[in-house]
Amino acid sequence: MDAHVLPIQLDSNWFFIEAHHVREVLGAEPWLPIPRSRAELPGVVVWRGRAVPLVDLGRLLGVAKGAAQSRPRTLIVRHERGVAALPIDAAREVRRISGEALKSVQGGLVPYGTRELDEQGEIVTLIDLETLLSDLDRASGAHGDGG
Amino acid sequence: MEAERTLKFLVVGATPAAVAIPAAAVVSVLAERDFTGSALDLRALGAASSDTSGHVLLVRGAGAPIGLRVRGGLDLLSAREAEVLPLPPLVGRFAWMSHLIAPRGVPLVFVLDLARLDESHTVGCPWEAHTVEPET
Repeated sequence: MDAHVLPIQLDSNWFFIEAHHVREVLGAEPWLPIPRSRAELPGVVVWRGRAVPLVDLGRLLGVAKGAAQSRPRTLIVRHERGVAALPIDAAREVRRISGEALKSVQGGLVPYGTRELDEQGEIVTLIDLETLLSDLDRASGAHGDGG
Repeated sequence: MEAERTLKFLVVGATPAAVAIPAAAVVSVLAERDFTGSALDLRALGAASSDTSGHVLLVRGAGAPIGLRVRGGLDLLSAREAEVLPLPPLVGRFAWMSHLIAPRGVPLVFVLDLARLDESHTVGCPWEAHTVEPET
């Protein structure tokens, strides 16, 4: 089955995320650091009248050198449990990629990578955003009583 | 047309490390040196403030008032109800904050989750209770 993906850049790396998650691509948004925050969840932004957690995708994927807050774009994504803001360096237009071109990941070097595309020698990994955000949700005890 | 409600908060410390407490929940504000008793130590929250004065806020919980030991200047802040946004559980539960105050859509200060600070719900609370005694 064909996939509709949004190419996003973090530092010098390009990744794909499924386009159906994407609500908006914004510039650098003002954000507020969360007291006692985890590095993966450094702060909160406001989007369309709601508080939205800022998720440091670069850190979660193990590619971040720069701080999340210094990235020039903010990707607003929807997932099963809500909305999140992802600081990124750049995004390109949504692409349609044939199912045959996307191969299963080899070696699992990128966390949450499910499939990958070989683009003239450069491997671009498709990230399972739903699982990534779901894991973050669980790790933060968002729906538990333990604080 | 019904006028939008304005909510008042007591803000402790300076942004970005400030924290807001609903003013209606504050029973009294005491200088640290005038308080005797047990208080949760929230002094780390105002750490960015250059004002190092210490206070104990007595806030209304479901049971007896809770003492909050804080550091930094105190200010009153008014915000329209629409500017006080509930925090998603993903960040709110971990930080023990319930809302974000965001005037004109710009995030300014978090609101302490008083409901969880009630004595009967402090399991896992990141702030320890200490005995505060007046200076001699």
